Formats: sequence, C-alpha cells, structure tokens
Amino acid sequence: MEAIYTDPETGLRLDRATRRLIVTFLVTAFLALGGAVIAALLVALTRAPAIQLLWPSAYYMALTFHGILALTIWPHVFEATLWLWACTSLLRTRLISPALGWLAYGLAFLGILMILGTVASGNASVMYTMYVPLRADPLFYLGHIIYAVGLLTLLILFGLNILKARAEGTYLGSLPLLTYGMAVAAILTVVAIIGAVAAFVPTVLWAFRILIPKVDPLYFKATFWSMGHTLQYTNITAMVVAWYGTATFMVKAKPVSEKFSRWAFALYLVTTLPVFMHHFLVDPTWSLAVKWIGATVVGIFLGVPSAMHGLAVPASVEKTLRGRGVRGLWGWLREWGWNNPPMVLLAFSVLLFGVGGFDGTAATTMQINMIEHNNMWIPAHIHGTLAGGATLGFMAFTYGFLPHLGFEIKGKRFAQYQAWLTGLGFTLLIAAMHWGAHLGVPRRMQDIRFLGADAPVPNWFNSMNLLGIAGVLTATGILIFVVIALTSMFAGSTRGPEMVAEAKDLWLPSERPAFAGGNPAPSATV
Amino acid sequence: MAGTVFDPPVAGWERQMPVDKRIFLWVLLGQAIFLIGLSATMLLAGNHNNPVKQFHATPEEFSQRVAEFVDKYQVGPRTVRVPPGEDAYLLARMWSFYPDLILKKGQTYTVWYSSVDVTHNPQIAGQRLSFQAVPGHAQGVTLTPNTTGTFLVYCGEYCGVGHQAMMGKIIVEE
Ligand code: HEM
Ligand SMILES: [Cu+2]
Ligand SMILES: [Cu+2]
Repeated sequence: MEAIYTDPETGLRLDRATRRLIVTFLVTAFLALGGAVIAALLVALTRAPAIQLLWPSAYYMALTFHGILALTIWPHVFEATLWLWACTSLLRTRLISPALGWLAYGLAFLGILMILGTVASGNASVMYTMYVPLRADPLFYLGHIIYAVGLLTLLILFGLNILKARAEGTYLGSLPLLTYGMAVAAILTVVAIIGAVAAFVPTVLWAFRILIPKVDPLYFKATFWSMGHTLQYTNITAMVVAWYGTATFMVKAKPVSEKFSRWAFALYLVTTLPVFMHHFLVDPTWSLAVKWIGATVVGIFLGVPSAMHGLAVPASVEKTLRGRGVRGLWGWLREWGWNNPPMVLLAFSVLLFGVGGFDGTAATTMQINMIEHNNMWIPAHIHGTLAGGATLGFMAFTYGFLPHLGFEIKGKRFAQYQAWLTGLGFTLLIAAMHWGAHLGVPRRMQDIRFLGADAPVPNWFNSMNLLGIAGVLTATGILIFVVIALTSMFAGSTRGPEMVAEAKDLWLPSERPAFAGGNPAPSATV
Repeated sequence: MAGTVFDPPVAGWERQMPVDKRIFLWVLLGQAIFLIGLSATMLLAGNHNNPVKQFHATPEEFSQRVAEFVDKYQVGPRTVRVPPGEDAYLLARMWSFYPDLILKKGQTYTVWYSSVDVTHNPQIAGQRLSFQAVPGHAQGVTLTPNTTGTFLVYCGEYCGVGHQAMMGKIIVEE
C-alpha cells in the first residue's frame, strides 16, 4: 500500500499515486500558463502602435501561441487536476487505475508537443480557431485529436472512479458539491468532444489530402464551435468549483444552500449547447429566428446559473464571517481578506467574470454583434471570462491547493503584490480593450495604422497604447504567480512527513462519511 | 477523521433551498425574460437589423458576377459607381477587397459579400459594420449610408500573413 497523506487543515486524505499524477498535471498547466503569458507580452507590445514590436508573420505566430496555450491547453490541463482530486480525495477513495491516468497524461502531452511544435515550425499560424480553408501542417490537427483523446481518457477514469466509490460506499447520497460540479464539467466536455470528432476527423483527412478534397468553411466553423464554446463551459464550471474550493480552503466557508448551487450547476447542462450559434450571427447561415433562439434566448438564460454562483460564493464567505462575529451590513466585505492573495484573486475573479459575462451576453444580440463582431470587444469578453474569471479563479484555488498537497507557498510577500497587480492589471487591460472596441479596433491585427491605406484611418491608437501598458503589468503579475507556484512545488513537500504519519487508508469503515444522506453523522452520535 | 471541511454542515443539506434563495432564483429568471423580450422588440421594431440573405456560389460563379458588375458600372481602374436600386458585389480574396464602391448618401443598397479563398470579414472603418465573407456562400448586407466621405474597408477575420494589408474602400457621395 502506498502512503496516504492527511491534510490536517481540511481533514482530506490523498494517496501518493494520485498525488503524483496531480502534481504532474499541475506543473504542466503552470508551464503552459507561463508560455501563454510570454506570448501575451509579445502580442500586447505589438498591438501597441507606439511599439509595434513584431512583423506580421511573427505576430500571427505569437498570437497563435497565445491563444492555444491560454485557451486550448492551460485551463484543461489544470482542470485535469480538479477531476483527479474530485474523484479520489473528495470521495475518500484511491484511483481505480493510476496507469490509465498516466496514459491520459502521456496522450495529452504528446498532443501538446505536436501542436506547439507545428506552430513553432511556422506552418501552423492559423490561430486557435484554425478556420478552414486556412491550411496548417497536418500534424497540427492530429495533435489536437491526440490531445482530446488524452482528455477523454481522463474523463473515463473520472467516471469509473465515481462508480468505484459508489460501489465501495465511501460516499452516500449525492456527490459532494465540488465533485458534482466537476461531473457537470465532465459531461459538458464529453459533449464537446462529440463536436470535436465531427470537426477534426474530416479536417485531418483534408489536411493529409486523403479522401476528402474540401471541408465546407461553415460546416467546420459550426462543428468547431459546438466543441469550442461548450468547452468554455467546462472552464466556467471548473472555475466555479475553484471558487467554492477557495472559499472553503481560506475561510472554511460552506455553501449557503447546496441545493441552490447544485441547481445552478445542473442548469449549465441544459443551456450550454445551443449557444455556440452566437458565432454565426453575422455569417450566411441559419435564419434570423434560429439565430435568435440559439444565440440570444438561450445565451441570456445561460447567464442565470453564472449569476447564481456569483451570488452564492460571496454569500458563503459573508455567512461564515458573520458567524465569526463580523458586524454591520458591509463588515464582511471589510474583513474579506484583502491582504490574503487568494481572497483578493477570488474577488477579482468574480467581478471580472461578471464583466466578461456581460460582454458576451450583450454580443449575443444581433444588433450589437453586427458592430462588435471581430473587434476588440471579443478579446475583452475572453479576458473577462477566461483570463480574469477562470484563470484568476484557478490561481486563487492554487494558493489553497498547494499547501493541501503538502507544498508550502514560497515568497508569500510576492504573492501579495502578484494578486493585486494581476487583478488591477486585468481590469485595466479589459478597460483598454473596451475602449478599443468602442472605436472599432479590429482584433488579430498586426498593424492598425494600415500602412498604404488610401482612405482615412480612424484615430484609435491611444486605446491600444494603453493596452500595451496594461499588458506589461498583467503579464508581470501572472509570471510572478507562475514562478511562485513552480518554486513552491520544486522545493518539495515540506509538510510531507507530518502528513503521511497517521492514516493507513483513505477511509476506514468506522468513519462513515459525515454526509451520509439521511444517516446520522458519526460526530453527532459520539 | 470524522468530517472534512468540504462536508455539508448537516445531513440532507443538499436537499434544502431556503426561501431567500428561491427569491433570488426567480429574480434572475425574471431579469432574463425581460432581456429576451427587449431583444425580441429590437428585432421586430428596431431598424438596425439585417435579415439573413444568402445564396450558394462557387468562387468561380461569384467572381463571374463581380466581373459582370464591374464591367457594367466601372468608373475607374478598380472603382464602381453603384446606381441606386442596384445590388453591389464585393469580392474578398487574399489580400484585397474588390472593387472600390461609390454609393449615394440616403440610398439603400444591398452589398453581396463572398470570398474566393479563405474566410474574410469586411469591416467599415469608423462605421463598425462587420459581416462575414465566406467562400462558397454569398451574403447580402443591406445598408443606407448616412454620412458622406471615404471609408476604409479592412479585414476583421484572420486570413493569413497579409491580413493587415487587406483593404478596400467605400466612397459615399452627396
Ligand atoms: C498576461 C496578460 C495577457 C495579456 C497582456 C493578453 C493580451 C492579449 C491581447 C492583446 C489579445 C488580442 C490580440 C489580437 O486580437 O490581436 C489577446 C487575445 C487572447 N487572449 Fe490574452 N492576454 C493575457 C492573458 C491571457 C490569459 C490568462 C488568457 C486565458 C487563459 C488569455 C486568452 C486569450 C485568448 C483566448 C485570446 C484570443 C486569441 C485569438 O484571437 O486568437 N489571455 N490577449
Ligand atoms: Cu481577409
Ligand atoms: Cu483577414
């Protein structure tokens, strides 16, 4: 039997085999985030017309790196750790097969290498969206498929482990809330992978020039986004799990109403899929009625569960603090923990996610989409939801999760600066993007001076110079985080020995789980 | 180790929803329905809409139409004056928009966009109008210029290494 860690802070246990997998995925995720941010620095400094650092081919390669590392790789690799943790530690059971976990990691890693390698070779500067008939190196598409198979393998492991825990009776009643959330994320991901098959199988054949001479651009775009937008809800669901997790790690908060939170998770399952249609509002496809129902109506409903979580998480912190005697209407906000990096990041994550969600919802309406489509409004939306929301949420969670895994956080003082710098930096970055959007600055554009234009170019340069400044601040903040996280992990498990000592297994029959639905909890009977 | 910090405070906790949470839920749903009503109103009663107009055309067919259109109304090397009431055609290719269009203020035109290679996205500088030009599919955009002047048309969809050099022009005359 391999060693078991017990975290005295949370009471949770973790076996060594699972922990090793989690640590490997985490390190990979942080490296991807670091890479994304270095690319972001080049991107931001090129988009600032005062500097315009890179030439076109280099710019589009850097932006492809930024999009792929930040969106295709970083969040999902991080989520892999959440899936692994949620189906073992939270369910008080071991992994049914660590080997399957390593297979998942190996496939995902191979896919990542193929994707990054082809982009670095210069033959795949097609952005993370790779709209056909833009043509990249065939190995680029194959890399995506292998990466997706890796993730799917991990999800199979996650599902099997829930069945195992249920069979062993290590949890009774409903799944614990965080596992429930990750199960919703897993279902969404499996749905997304169905879209991925429809998009990538014909495309990889087309790229290798076998059998399929042509892929219709709108077919590809539709199947691509049926995968791609659904995956954003994997990210959001995992972000919400990280929110609840951070509140629990930091202030031992409990959800104010688990049923409310569970409903919100379950609503994502109903409302996610059709909204990928908002990518087609200004495309020559379905009728306006279809677009309105898929993009606008369902899109607006999709805001409801997010707003529910956005209220429930701060409310759980409020309730906990009040329980400790904090007074007044706003006393809990004063005592929020503004000198505690993860709580600062949690606050920014909730707020910026709200901004990004607003941008996205506004852009699902026809009238706004036809003016904001493909301008800086879209990066503003992405940096509100995925960067400001999910990434800051994951960072906040990491500050609680690393000590939980036995790693002491190194450089706590820098963590302070890091949290505020990143939060304020993203706020400024998103503000600059909105300013640019208001002036109509296009996205993914190396030169907004339009050298050689024989018509007037709008005076929209200052917005993008501000973006350059904000970009440097934000990138610095995130890079500090990556360094803190990696040095904390490479310094080794300082809390290890103390944590290994006591337990022989994750669960002993005498310790019936406290959340045994209906049964009296053991602590209540003693 | 009886419990962990992640356990619910009491058994059966996940089956309860206190009244105040229910109220929140209904307020949020009501707000969503209000917004949906607003967007429906803008579609039915607003004048800032573009009902989907499209036909299928291979790159060759669409290029053919553009050539005929240019032949008929050409006034400069790559400039076309579109008579009021006529449809206009805009061909997107790596990396230019063809031809330059002269329109008359206050007249309503339908401009047909398509592409012969990859997807492009003509955007009109300062006017922030953005519709897609997709190979194999032609899309009609109806617009009524209300300002005179020369407007840069640039590409909003990444289309390869010449993307930033992809330009065209619309001139609106009195
Ligand atoms: C560290 C600071 C960051 C800066 C300065 C930054 C800057 C930018 C800029 C300027 C763009 C728009 C480029 C263009 O359209 O020409 C962009 C696009 C994007 N960013 Fe970031 N970003 C940062 C962090 C992040 C993070 C953390 C994420 C997500 C986890 C992210 C995800 C994206 C995505 C998905 C796009 C769209 C890429 C595309 O259009 O192909 N960014 N970023
Ligand atoms: Cu183009
Ligand atoms: Cu382009």
